[in-house]
This record gives sequence, C-alpha cells and structure tokens, in this order.
Amino acid sequence: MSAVLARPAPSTRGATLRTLAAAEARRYARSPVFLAGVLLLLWATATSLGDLDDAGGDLAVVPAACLGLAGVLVGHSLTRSTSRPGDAVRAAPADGALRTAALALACLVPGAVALAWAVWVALALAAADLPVAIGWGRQAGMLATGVVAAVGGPLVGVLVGRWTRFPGAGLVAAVVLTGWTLACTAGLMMTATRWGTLVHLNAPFATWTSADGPDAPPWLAGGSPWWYVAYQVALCGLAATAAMVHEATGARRTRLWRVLAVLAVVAVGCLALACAADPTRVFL
Amino acid sequence: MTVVPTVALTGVTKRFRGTAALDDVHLTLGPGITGLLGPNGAGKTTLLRITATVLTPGAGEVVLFGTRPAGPEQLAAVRRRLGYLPQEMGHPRGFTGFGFVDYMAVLKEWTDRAARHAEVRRVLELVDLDGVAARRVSALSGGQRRRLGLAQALLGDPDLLLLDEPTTGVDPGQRVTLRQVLSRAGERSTVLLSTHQTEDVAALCDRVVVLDGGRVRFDGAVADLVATAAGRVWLADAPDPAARASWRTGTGRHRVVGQAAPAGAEPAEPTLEDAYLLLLGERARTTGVAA
Amino acid sequence: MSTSTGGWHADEDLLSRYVRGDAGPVAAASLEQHLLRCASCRDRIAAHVPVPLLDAAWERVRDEAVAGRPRRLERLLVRLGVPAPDALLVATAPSLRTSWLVGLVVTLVFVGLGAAYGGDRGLTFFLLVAPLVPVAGVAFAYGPDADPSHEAALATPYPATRLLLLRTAAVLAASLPPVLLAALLVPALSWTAVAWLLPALSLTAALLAASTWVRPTVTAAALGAGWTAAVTSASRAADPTAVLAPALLVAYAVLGCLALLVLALRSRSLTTLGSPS
Ligand SMILES: Nc1ncnc2c1ncn2[C@@H]1O[C@H](COP(=O)(O)OP(=O)(O)OP(=O)(O)O)[C@@H](O)[C@H]1O
Ligand SMILES: [Mg+2]
Ligand SMILES: [Zn+2]
Repeated sequence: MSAVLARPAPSTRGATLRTLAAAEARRYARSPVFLAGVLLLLWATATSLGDLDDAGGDLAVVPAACLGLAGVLVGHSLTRSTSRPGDAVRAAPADGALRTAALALACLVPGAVALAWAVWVALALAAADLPVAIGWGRQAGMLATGVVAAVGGPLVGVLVGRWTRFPGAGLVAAVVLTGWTLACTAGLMMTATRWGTLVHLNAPFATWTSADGPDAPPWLAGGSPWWYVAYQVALCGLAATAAMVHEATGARRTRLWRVLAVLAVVAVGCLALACAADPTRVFL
Repeated sequence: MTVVPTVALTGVTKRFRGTAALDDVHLTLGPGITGLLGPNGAGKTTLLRITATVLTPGAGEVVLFGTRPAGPEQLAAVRRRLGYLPQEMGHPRGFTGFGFVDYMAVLKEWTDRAARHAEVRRVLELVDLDGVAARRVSALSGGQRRRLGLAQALLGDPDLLLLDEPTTGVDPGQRVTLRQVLSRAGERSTVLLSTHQTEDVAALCDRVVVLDGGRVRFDGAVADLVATAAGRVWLADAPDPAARASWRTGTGRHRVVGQAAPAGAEPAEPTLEDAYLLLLGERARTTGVAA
Repeated sequence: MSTSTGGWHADEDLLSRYVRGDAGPVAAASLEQHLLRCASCRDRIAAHVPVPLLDAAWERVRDEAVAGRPRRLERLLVRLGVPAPDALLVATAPSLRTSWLVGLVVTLVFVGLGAAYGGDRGLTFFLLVAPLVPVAGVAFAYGPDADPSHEAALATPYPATRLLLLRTAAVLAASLPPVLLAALLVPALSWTAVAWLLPALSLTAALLAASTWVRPTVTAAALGAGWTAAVTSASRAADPTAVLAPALLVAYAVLGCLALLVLALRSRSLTTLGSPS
C-alpha cells in the first residue's frame, strides 16, 4: 500500500495572504539594504539627538532616507525576485494580485521600525524639555511624515517592479522620488502664500523648517502637517493599488481601477486641505 | 603514429569552499560519444565547465587538442573548435530564435553575414526549429529553447561538443531527432554528453563515465557497465526491501535490482539503469512504487 | 527610335550579357525599354537569371525577416562606422536598450529639477547621482546578470575583454553626454557640472578592474554605497563639493589609471566564470 500524502487543506484567501505576507516580511527584514538602512538610521539619529532644537520633527528626513528611499530598492528587488521564476510562481494557487498584496503588506516592516524610531525621538524631545513653540500636535505630525515615507518608498519599489522590466528601474524610481522632493523645497524659498505651500507640500516627503539666510532665525513652514500625512497615506494607497492592478484580472481589476480613482480624488483633497491651512511661517 | 586525444584531463580537482566538486579526475576523450552519468551534485557540470575552458581547475592539467590553453591565443584557438551547451542557459531579451543563434555565431567569429546566416539556418534545421525561428525566444516552449541552445552549440560543426543535459524538457520525438544529429556529430567529433537519462546514453554512447562525489566511479564501454548487472536483476511477484532497488512495473510485477534473488523470482535482462543503480549502491537506493 | 515590337527582339547573347551586367549602358537602356513592352523577351530573359542568385536574394530577405529588425542602436552604430558584428554584440547589452535610455532621461529630468531648486541638498543629490550613472550602465552591460547566455558566450573565441570594453565605450558614449548636457543646463551647478566627469570615469575604471574578481553588479553596488557615503559625509561636514577638491581630482585620475592597469594585467580572468552563480 502506498502512503496517502498529506495535502494542505484548501485555505481561504485571507489565510493564504497572511502566510505569503509573513514570508515576504521575513525576506524584507533579511534584505541587506534594509539592514544597512536600519544601522544608518540608528547612527544618524543617535548623533543628532545630542543637539536637538525646537524643530526635532524634521529629523523625519532620516527614516525617510534610510528606510523609505533605501526601501525603493528593497521593494523593487523583492518584487523582481518573486517574478523571476515566472512560470512556477504563476502556476501556484496564490494569484498575482494576492502576491502583490503580500509584498505591499511586507512594506509595513520598515514602517514598524520607523514607528519605533518616532517613539524614541518623541521621548527624547520630551526629555530634552525644549520650549515647545510649535505645539506637540505639529511636532508629532512632522515625525509621522517620516513613518509614512518609510512605508511609501518600498511601495513605490513594488509598483515599479510590477510594471517595468528593466533592472535599473528601482534606482530610477529612487532618483525620481528624491528629485521630486528636492525640487519641491523651492516652495520654501517662495513667499508664504497658499500657492507656495502647494509647491512645498506636493512632494512625497517634505521637511518643514528653513531660514531666510545662513544667519537668519529659522522658521516653520505653513500648512497642515496632519493633512499632509493623510496625503502621503493616500499616495501609499495609490502605489499599492496600482501595483495590484498589474496582475489582477476580470472584475477584480475593474474594482481596483475604481479604488485607484477614489484614492486619487482623496489624495488631491488631502493635499488641498493641507495647503488650505494658514500659510504663515512660525519663527522658532 | 600516436593520435592526440581531443581532451586529456589529468588529476583535475576543483573545490568550492572546501567541498570537492571534482577530485583527482583523469579522463581522455577521442572522437565518439561519451555519456556522463552521476547523481545530482556529482560534479558533471563542473567537469564540463572545466573542459569548456570557462572554469579553471584548482589543480591538475587540462589539455585540449594537444595544447594547454594558457595564453589568450591558445584559448581562442581551442574555443574556435568547441561547442558548449551549459546546463542553465538564458537568452538576452528581445531576440528571435534566429537572432539569438545569429548573435552566438557572431561571437564565434562568423563575420561574413551571408555565410553566417547560411550556417544559422543549417543548425536550426538540424534541431528542427526552422519553423519557429522567427518567434521571440521568450515565446518558445521550454523544450524549443533547449533545442535552440543545442543549435548554438552545433554552430560551425565543432570538433569538441560539450552538452550539459541537452535533452531535458525535450519531447520523445525530438529526442530521437537529436539522437540522429548527435550520432552524426559523433562520427567525426568528440562529444561529451551529461545526462540523467540512461536510455539516451544506452542509445547513443559507446562509452560511459560515471561520476560520484567528484570521482570517476566507472569509465568504459556501455556494454561493460551493463554486463556488471548480469545476474542481479529479477522480476518478482513482491517488492524486495533488501534489494538495492525494487519497483512495481506497468505489468504488475516487481523489478528487483540487488545482490540476491528473491524467492520465486525469474532473471531479467539488465539495462544500463540497473547497472548504474548497482554501481552507485546505497547512494542511489530507492524503494518505491512507480505507476 | 521605333516603338513597334514587330521586328527586333533581343537575342540570347544580349539577354545573358544584360543579366550578367556587362551589356554596356546604351544597350542595357534600350533593352530595358524593349522589355517593358515585349512579353516574349520577358519570358526568355527569365531563363538567363541564374537560380542560385534568386534563391540567395530570397534567403537574404527571409533571414532579415526571421532575425528580427536590427535594433535602432545597432543600425546607428553601423552608420557610424562600427563593424556590423560588433554593433550587434554591443546593442545586446541591457543598459543600451531603449527602456534603459528612457530611464536615463527620467533620471536626468529629476536630478536636474532637484539640483536646480533643491539648493545645497540638490547639489549633493547631483554629485551623488551623476558619477554613478555610467557605473550603473556598465554594470548592466556585461556579465552573468546582464547577459543570461554569459556562460555560453564565454566558451566562444570572441575576446571577453574586447566585448567588455566595447560595451563600456558604448555605455559611456550613451550616458555621459546627456548627463553633461543636463548639468550644464542647471546654472546652480557652476564648475561642478564638468568636474564630476573625473570621478565618473575613475569609478567606471574601478568597476572594470574589480569585475575581474566579482560580477559587475556586485562591484557597482559596493562602489555606489562607497560614493554615497563619501558625498553624504562631505555634505554633512560642510560642503558636498569637497569630494571634488583639486587634490582628490588628482587622486581620482591616479586611481583610474591604476584600475586600468589592473584590468590589463588581470584581463585573463575575464575569460572564465570568476564566481559562477
Ligand atoms: N559555483 C559554485 N559554488 C559553490 N559550489 C558549487 C558551485 N558549483 C558547483 N558547486 C558544488 O559542486 C558540486 C558539484 O556540482 P555540479 O554542478 O558539478 O553537479 P552536477 O553533477 O552537474 O549536478 P546536477 O546533476 O544536479 O546538475 C555540488 O556539490 C555543488 O554544490
Ligand atoms: Mg549539472
Ligand atoms: Zn522582344
């Protein structure tokens, strides 16, 4: 008699997604680029916490670069490496959209690290007992932009990995995000109007403090940090949904397109609300 | 008059981080087809890579066509006379089947366009791919891609043909076609063919080399290897757990390969596969049920 | 000249001389006139056209169709005087394909935007990216990651060093001028817009030298990380353009020359799988 082979019981989509997402998250956490980014994050933060000033929230640029920007490369390479043995993976029971969803969930790994980082910095700010001129709400909002950027970068990597096939696409995406972000700092040079805020805040990541000259007093840009965070989250949703559209078929694809349209409207709305807030600058 | 062997390996050893992929291999090859058998990880690919000059041995000497390919000129001279199909062969993106073989032909110094195209057409016809040569490589089936790799190795009718598992994924009809191509090539050239298909070796080769753990376990005529299994293969009514291997055949009887005859068994004609299983002994031990 | 077809017909000798191409211009022209109007001569001339010639022409047409259209780059290279076989080999590199060039243009647009409007950080950004553009291009022009048939290609007599250098030259020719152009369009960059060329070339030379030990993509990643560390630490310290200090520029030149020397001495190891996958 031959032994009866144990077959996995047919699982629900949710269970499959959880298993896949856990596997992808482990792969993400083991990626050398991610680990190097975490080390860099720890080092850069530790060296900056010594001379904290009132705008400690702008430290968010550190996770945005170390986790978000580096995450573009990680997300891209993870996506490419799952699609390489094409036929074998395509034939597996989990369909493409599900695998993309799992990859998108794995992008929460750097988000979790960034969240821990934000708590660390917030505690350090509280301990430093600075004169809080800008209020804790704003400060926390600024820190949150870094957390969202740490998730958004990898999502863009997944998106690019799904839709393009050439090997350097991850690098190009990282450059595009950086260039876009830097170009938007031009908004800080403009006069403090709502249009200036729009130029400043349409970036995927924004820093908030600047000064009118090397020796001039620093100020905090206008606009609403929390509506800006909402705009960033909507961008993340757009990236994840657009990545899933690539593999989806039939009714699911139509539904994803609809979600994409809704998210686009939401993103524009959040950006408008972020810019609609008082554009005047707060001197620190 | 002494004939210079096409391939002469003496004491070839190759280690990867401590583990020996090849361990003191001595091998001399002349015209004709030699089959290379061995379990996974035996060192077949490593041996072919070293013979194809794409890997340098850690120790030992490789002499091809009577020269040691040391300098760039000798290396190029040797490579002009060899065709190599690696075990894993991808294709650059965007090529048609014809375009890919054409690309390889350029690398093999066919500079004249008309002559090159004629040669590409010839090898594509040999492997029976002329019908689909205009398709993108990415649109070809796995077996068609394998044959495309073989076509590339056949360019210029090389004196030394090194094929690493050329028949994986190729359908039985095409396998027979390829056997015809290879047996014709073997009349003039030296062909070394690694495979897991003992029936290919039995059908094609006059000589067989069995590698195991980086060492040569057998080197001789196919008939001699088969003869080692004489009297050690039976057909019985029940499986024999004590045998090297036993499995249920399609007729419902059990083929038993081992040292001692099970009760009520009648002797059977040994095949190359039986001899291979016996040679490798425990390492190739299998007891199972085949449909 | 008579337009009637009644009297004269071409004789066999003239027809065969015409087909061979040595009937003389005058006779050939009048014969062509005549053939246009005379069906019987047209029939007879067909017998003079050698069959192999027709077959060869047909096969050439078929091969062109079957081989696929040569890439735009390949045609361009041939027009520039590169021998056709070399042009084919060069154009196969992934980093010379259209998608890569599109990626380069997108990169340059955003690097330019960042450099133009991003102030000091924009300058750092430019310094970071510009010298790495050719490095990335070369990394994806040669080796097992760029060419899935690398192992089979190695076993051919075509010199590996020549292939590497040809593709490197093509990548440099395709990527340096656009980056330079983009840099010159951004006034904020001043002399940095030109000075980056030296580290770019030196890093590329280092990549070539190191590719005799490890695969180019791995080296490129290491060089990219090192260059990023250098530029960002210079930027954090005070001034990102410190990486272009005159003393360093000399060092880049020296290092680049040393790297080329290493490549020349070790080119033999390009002909085998250094660390096979
Ligand atoms: N590049 C490499 N790096 C490290 N180890 C290697 C490498 N190539 C081969 N080996 C090891 O050398 C041994 C022989 O490998 P080889 O590929 O030659 O086996 P093979 O006989 O071709 O196996 P198969 O039948 O599976 O193709 C194996 O143990 C393998 O793990
Ligand atoms: Mg093998
Ligand atoms: Zn006439």
